[in-house]
Amino acid sequence: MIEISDLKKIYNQGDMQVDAINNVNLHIPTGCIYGIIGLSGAGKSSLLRCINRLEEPTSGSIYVKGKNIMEYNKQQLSDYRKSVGMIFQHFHLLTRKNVFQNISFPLDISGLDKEKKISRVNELLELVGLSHKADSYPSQLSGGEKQRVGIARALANNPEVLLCDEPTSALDPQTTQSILSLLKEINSKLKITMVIITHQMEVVKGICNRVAVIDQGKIIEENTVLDVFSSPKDRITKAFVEDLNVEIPLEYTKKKHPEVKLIKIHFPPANASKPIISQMIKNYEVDANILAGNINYIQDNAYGQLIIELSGKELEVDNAFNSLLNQNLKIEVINNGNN
Amino acid sequence: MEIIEKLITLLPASILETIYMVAFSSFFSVLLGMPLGIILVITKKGHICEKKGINDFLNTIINITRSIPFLILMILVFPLSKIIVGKQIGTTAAIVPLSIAAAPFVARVIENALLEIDPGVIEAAQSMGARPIQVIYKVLLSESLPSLVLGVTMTIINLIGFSAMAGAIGGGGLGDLAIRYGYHRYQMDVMIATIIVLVIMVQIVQSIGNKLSKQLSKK
Repeated sequence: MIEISDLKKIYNQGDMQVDAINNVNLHIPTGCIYGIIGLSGAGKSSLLRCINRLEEPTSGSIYVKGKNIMEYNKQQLSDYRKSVGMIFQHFHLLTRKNVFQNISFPLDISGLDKEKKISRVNELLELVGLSHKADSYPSQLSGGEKQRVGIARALANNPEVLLCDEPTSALDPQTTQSILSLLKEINSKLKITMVIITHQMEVVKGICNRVAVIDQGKIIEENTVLDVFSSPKDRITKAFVEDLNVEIPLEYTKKKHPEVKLIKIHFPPANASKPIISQMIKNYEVDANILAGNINYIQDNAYGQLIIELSGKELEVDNAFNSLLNQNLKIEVINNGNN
Repeated sequence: MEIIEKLITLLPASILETIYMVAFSSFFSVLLGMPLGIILVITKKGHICEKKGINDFLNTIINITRSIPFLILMILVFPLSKIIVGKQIGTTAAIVPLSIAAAPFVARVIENALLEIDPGVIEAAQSMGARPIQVIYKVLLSESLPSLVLGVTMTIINLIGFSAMAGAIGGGGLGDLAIRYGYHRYQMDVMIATIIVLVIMVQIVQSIGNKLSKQLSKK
């Protein structure tokens, strides 16, 4: 769907040249929810704006549906932009227009006739669940509702691509989840390709299929979300994934626990939903005490870590431990029980 | 009673002359100043039609015009008044210098109003494929309407003040009345009456402007 090659964007700041985007190559498949994650100033916003040429790249090419958008003239660019919706962190709604008028705004620009416009806007209001707020003004809406209006507005012209610029960064966690599930629903219903830039790992985890990690204008890692989470390669990727890692509680480490074996189990996706711990307890005479744990669902795949304290007779503990090893789990031994 | 009779014969004509001058010069100054203000904004760096040359040129012209004292400008513009309205003295003739003096002010007022708009909203419209002219009408002017109304209110009030000065050199109106009777003939009562009328006019214009602007704003 979108093929970005050797993309560069250089800003001149006085005598200094800043490479906002430095030789980026990306392939974004049709129908995919593609995440681009990076810290602020990493160049992700510039990269996103190059896709609809709100930002003019310095060099490189962007092919969308097989056409190089860099070659478009003004009229072609205007038509192309109508096939690419965009939503924003701060929504950017028209303050003097109500919800209905805001959603019909792109249709006014396209010059759609009045009857079609009304029925299309009503459809969109239904889609984002705001039919009852059609007459409200943006100042009367909550953040989540504003973003819903933004989404409806972006979808008005039936775009094939939706660009999302930090769509949930200004929202509270609960609203973030509801916006994410709305985006996911739209993606599966309308088969629309989405490019989401964010600094929130939970956005990537929640709805993206693939993710690119960007730092200082360069893509430093690109893979399926599951692979990036289970084996992050770069330092920055690790930092993003880290908040999902589980650590031993500080209070626990202060005391000595000579009688127990302390292990950390990394769940490969396939096994996270199996009752391996309870099976182990049934089969061996051991006690398992869960100290810390975190199981995440990356869409339909579970991924996570558990820190478990095993205690009992030494032989039983060893047998139980070996049975876990045999199940193809990645296990770290933190404390063997001898020291 | 003599005073009231005197005021009744003098005031209404002067009030009408002032309203006539202010109404027409407000209209023409907005007509001239509005496009200038819009061009000033859209040709700015990073805006929808960035053109440094045009922007610098307009800025200079506007600053020069705004620096010339109104009395001098009026004298400078006399020949132009003659060409446009056929005479250089009189209430109608005063509309020409008044409009020209207020136009750069209007341009600045409109510039400020348009700059208040969140650049993100403009970006959103561009992302929908809006052409520059659509951005101007559907975003810039539409979104800043409440501020524009306040700006025009301010212009009208300024013009009420300017028109009093125009009166002093043959434009008629309340300013003329105040000077001829109040100043030259030491009739304090006439002077005070004209000032009261001017204060009332300014109050009325300002409160209408505020009300309208508030009604248009949906914030």
